[in-house]
Amino acid sequence: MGSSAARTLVSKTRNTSSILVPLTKTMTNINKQILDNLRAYFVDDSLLPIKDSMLEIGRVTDFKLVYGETYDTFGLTIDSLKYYFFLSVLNSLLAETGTKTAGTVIVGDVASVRNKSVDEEGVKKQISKNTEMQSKICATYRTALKFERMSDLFETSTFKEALANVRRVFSESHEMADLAEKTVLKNKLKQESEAEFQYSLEEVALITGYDIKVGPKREINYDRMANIVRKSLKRLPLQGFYLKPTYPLGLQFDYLLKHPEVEKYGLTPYKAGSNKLQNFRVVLGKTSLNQIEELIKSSFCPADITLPNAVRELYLTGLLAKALITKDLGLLANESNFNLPSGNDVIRLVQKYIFEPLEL
Amino acid sequence: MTDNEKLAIREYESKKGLKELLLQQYSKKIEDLGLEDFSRVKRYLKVYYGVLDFHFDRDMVFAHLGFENISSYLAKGQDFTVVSGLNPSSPLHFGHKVLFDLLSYLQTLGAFVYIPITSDESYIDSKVSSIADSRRIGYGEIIPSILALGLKRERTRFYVLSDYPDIYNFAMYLSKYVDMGYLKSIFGEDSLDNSGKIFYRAAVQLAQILMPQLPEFGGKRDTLIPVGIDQHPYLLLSRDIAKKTGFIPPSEMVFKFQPSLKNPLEKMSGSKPETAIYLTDDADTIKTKITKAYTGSVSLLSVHRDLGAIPEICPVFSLLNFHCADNTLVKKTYEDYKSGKLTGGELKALVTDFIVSVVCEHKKKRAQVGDYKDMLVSTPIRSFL
Repeated sequence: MGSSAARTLVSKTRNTSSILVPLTKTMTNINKQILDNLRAYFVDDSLLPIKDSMLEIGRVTDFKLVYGETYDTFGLTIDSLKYYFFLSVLNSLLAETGTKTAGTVIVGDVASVRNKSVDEEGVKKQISKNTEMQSKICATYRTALKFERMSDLFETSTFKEALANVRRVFSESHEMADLAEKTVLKNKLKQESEAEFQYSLEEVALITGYDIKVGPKREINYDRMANIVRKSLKRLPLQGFYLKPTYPLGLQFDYLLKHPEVEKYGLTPYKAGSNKLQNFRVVLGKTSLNQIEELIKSSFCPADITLPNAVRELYLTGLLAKALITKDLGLLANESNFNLPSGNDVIRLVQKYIFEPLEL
Repeated sequence: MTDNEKLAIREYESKKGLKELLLQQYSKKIEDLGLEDFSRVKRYLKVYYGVLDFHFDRDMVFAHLGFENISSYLAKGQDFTVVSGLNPSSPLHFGHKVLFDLLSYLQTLGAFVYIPITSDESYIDSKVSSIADSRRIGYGEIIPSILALGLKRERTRFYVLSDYPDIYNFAMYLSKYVDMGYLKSIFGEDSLDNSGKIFYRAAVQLAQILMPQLPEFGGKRDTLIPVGIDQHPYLLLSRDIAKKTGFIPPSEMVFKFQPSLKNPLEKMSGSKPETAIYLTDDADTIKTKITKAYTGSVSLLSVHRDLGAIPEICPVFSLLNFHCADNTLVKKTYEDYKSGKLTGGELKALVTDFIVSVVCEHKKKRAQVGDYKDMLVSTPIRSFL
């Protein structure tokens, strides 16, 4: 990153005492370009139109960013890395405007074992392993992200207060109730309704305190609920950035044609066993480079960027890793770096900037 | 503005309305009949193959049901099975040609094609005076004409229903699973007014569709049935009966019909010679039919120059669009005609030349077809007896 440019920007921002200046207007051109590229190449959709987001209206000087995930027994996916890295880069871009920022990853330990059919012990063991890997990731890529366990957050007074607020608004708002119904599977609706949507409301309570949330689009209804709560508290709305869906590697287009829900929403990025496709994902510490090579060879890899492309997503994760590890976020400003190279180049990138640094 | 000009403008507006109607007709069918828009499949196929045949590219295939299953064969480069036939009551016309061109293209993607020639259907629907006539047309006209359209011999099998009675045993077996109430709800009572029609629609057609899944023909597997939209009820019935009898429900691919020369909302029909151009027509007949055809342009030249024509409803333009592989020519003709630069008369002359050349070429190829006995299905069907 051009640090002198960033310093100038910081001082300019500080001198501009008005907090009404849109945040993106206080960014350097290069950082604006990076932000534009992040939006273009990583973001599938946002909760609010960009013009209404806090990044543009600029009345906030303190940003809290969050991404939350749950786990299964199959391990930590390379797709989680994409979210960590995206959050980290966004955090850096905001921080360089002089804004106070904090990026958090919520480790959904409680949510991971809520479903009675899961192997609770197995998941807990996996979460412990993930914790080690997550520490290593933070140290290696200097992400400045804070990993917080859901179980710990549940004990805090901040969470308890947030949950009380969420429950109060939920009891008064039909819109909240409608959205809560959309957060649960149809076959679980009766059960969840009887439990007054406890789990959904807890999820919402966890995120209401954050300003920017990054996640897959399937979480949009939680974010909408959070904004109803924030509105009742007269707080500016949370902005959600939904990254492009995660697709399985090693499968051809017929899989997507047969699974329109995967085509539209992708797999759950942080659940390696999503749709039982753990063998078609890159699981950190489990999938070898040779296996990735084989998966890439048999993947549907269209040039048309509007079509699902798991190889492209893998490449983009590698690109973020490279930018962080070489401390050169500037390479994300150059559009030509987003052109998908050959499969071998993708593997080399993953090897050099993910496998070797993390000693996988 | 003269009265003639006012009339021509009204004519143009009315043709524009027809275009909307035609477009809605197809999108409404997709919705009403529970079909899927083919464009989603097309996007993937276009990327996978790089270039698509113009029938796909120009959206002549517009809907499907279950094509996803066939896509697995395409993605793996495996052969797949297609069934599509016709009733022999007249020589092949350009409406039939669309289907066989599509089958020919599907063969390049790995299709093995069964073509039942339904001499029985022609008879029960009174399209011919005797089964013998229908049979004669099947062997003498239809099969050689189809082969001359370029279908690969090693990937094509024919059978004329009246000469393959084993299919009726299979039909009898399937008939038990179709009750009359259901049949009437699908086809309507009017198309079931003699017992032959009932047996044909309730069982024989099903037998043709499911036959490749019998052990004698390789066993249960996905099959693709390309049809015009009017054939959709057969597919619904066969998918239902396939589930009841343990076969795999066939997939459906629906293509647009070649419009009648007289009315863009109707299809070219072999039993109405003025609506169709046969592959056996001579140059003069073709010229006469095209000259008398309905068009997408208005009758007053000055208004045509000002407002242009509506190629989408023009049966003459559609002959080019459905049969000419030259994208540049089709695109230029479309644009010139639409802008009014090309007149209706000029379009007719251009299309006449093109169609005459296609027919001449087809006649030459047909003369070279030769013996096709090795392509006739004669396998005894015994597995369910």
